[in-house]
Amino acid sequence: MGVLTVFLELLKDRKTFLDEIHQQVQLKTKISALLLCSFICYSLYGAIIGSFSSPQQAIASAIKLPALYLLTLVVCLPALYIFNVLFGSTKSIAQHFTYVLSTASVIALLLCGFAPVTLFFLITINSHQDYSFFLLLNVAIFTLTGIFGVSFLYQAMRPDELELDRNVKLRAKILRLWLMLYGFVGSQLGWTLRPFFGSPVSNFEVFRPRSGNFLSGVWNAVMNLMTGAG
Amino acid sequence: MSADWQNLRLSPREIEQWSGLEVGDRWVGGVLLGIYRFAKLQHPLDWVGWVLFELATAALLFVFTLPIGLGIARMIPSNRLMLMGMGVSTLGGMVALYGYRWRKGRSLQTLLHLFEEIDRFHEVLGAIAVVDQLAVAQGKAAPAEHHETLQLTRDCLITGLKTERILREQRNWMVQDGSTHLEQSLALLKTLDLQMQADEYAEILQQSVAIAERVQQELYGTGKVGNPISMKRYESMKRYE
Repeated sequence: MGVLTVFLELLKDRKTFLDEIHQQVQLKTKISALLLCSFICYSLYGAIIGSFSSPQQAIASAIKLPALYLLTLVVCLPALYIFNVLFGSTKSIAQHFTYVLSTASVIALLLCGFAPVTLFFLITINSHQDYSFFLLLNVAIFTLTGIFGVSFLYQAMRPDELELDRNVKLRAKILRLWLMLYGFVGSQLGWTLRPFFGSPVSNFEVFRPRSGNFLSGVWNAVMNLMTGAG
Repeated sequence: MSADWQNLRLSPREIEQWSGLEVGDRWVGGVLLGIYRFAKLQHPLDWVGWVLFELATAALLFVFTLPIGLGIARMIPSNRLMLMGMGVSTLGGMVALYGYRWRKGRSLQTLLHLFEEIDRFHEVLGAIAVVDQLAVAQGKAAPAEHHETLQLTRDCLITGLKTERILREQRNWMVQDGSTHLEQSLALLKTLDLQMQADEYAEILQQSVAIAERVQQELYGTGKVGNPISMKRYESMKRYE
C-alpha cells in the first residue's frame, strides 16, 4: 500500500478506512502516509498564504502551517488517550493517533480545496489595502475547514451507544471537551507562530514578539476592516 | 482457470498475517520507520521517487523541530542561529532514523529474500494466466499440470514466512541464552528421552509378564502359576493328544 493510496482511500472510502483503524489494520503505514500527505497539503496552502507579502514569508509559512496543525495534535493527543483509557476505551494510542491524524488530513485536503479561491483573491486584491480582508478570509476558511475536520473526528471517535459500558456517555463528553481543547491549543499555537501572512507594511520576520492572544488579534482585524484602516 | 491462479497469489493481508509485519509495494514494516525494498527500484523514476520521499521525510522532521527554533528565537533573536538549531536537530533526527532502519534491515534480510521469491512466484502466476488466456482464445483447453507444483510452492513460501517470523521473534531468546541454554535444553531432552525409553521397556516387560501369567492360567487352570496340580493336569492333557 503506497502513501498516496492511503490518502486516496481516506477520500474515497472513509467508512472502510475507519473500520480498518478500528481493526488495527496497517496502522504504521496509515500514520506515515497521513503524516506525509497532510504535511505536503499544509505546506502548499502555507506557501500560498505566505506569498501574500513576500517569498521569504511563503517559505516560512510553508513550514509553520504544517507545524501548527501537527504539533497541536501531538500536544493534545496524550490528554485524549489517557482520559479515554481511564474511562474504559480499549483503543491503543496508535489508533488514537491515526484517528486524529485522519482529522488533520481531512482539514489539509479541505484547505487544498480552498487553495484556488485563496490564490484567486491573492492575485486580484491589493496587498496593502486589503490585508485585513485577506486575513479574515483565511480565518473564515480555517474555521470552516476546522469545523468539518472536528465533526469528522467526532463522528469517527464517538463511542458507540450500543457499547455495554457505563462510561460511554462520559467518554463522549470527554471527546467534546477535548475538541474544545484542541481548538484552544491550536489557536494559541497559531498566535505564537505568527505571522503566517506577513504584514505588507513591515519587514519579514520569522516570529513576532509575544503579545496578546488569538482572539484579540481577530478583534483588531475586524476593527481595522470596519474603520477602513486596511 | 485464471481465477484459480489468482487464488494462489499471496495477498498483502495474508503476508502481513504470516510475517507479522506491515507490507507494502515498496516497504516492509511501515513507511517512515520501515525498510525500503531497494530490489524493487528498477527504473530511474523509482529512484527519483525514493529521493523525493526521503526529502519529504527530512522536511517533515524539520517541521517538528520548529519548537526548538522558537525556543532559540525567544532566547537569541537571530534567524541564522534558529535555522542552524533546527537544521542540526533535523540532521540528528535523520541519522537516528537511518540508524534505526539499518538495524531493522539487518534483522529482516531473510524476509526480504522471501519477498523477492514471492514476487517471482507472482510473476510466474501472471505468465501462466496469460498462457491460459491464449490457449482459451485459440479454442484449446487450458493446461492444468502446473497447478499442483504451484500449490506446493505456495505452501513452501507460507511455511518460509511463518518460520522466519518464529526465528525473528525468538531471536532475543537465542541471543540472550546462547549455546549454554541450548546445551542444557539438549541434555534435558536426552534425559527425558532415556526416561521415556526406560518407561517403555518397563511397560513392555510388565505386559510380557502379564501375558505370560494369562497364558499359564489358561494352560494350567485357575491355580497359581507353578502349581504342581496344574502341572499334572497339563501332563494328562499331553497324553490325550
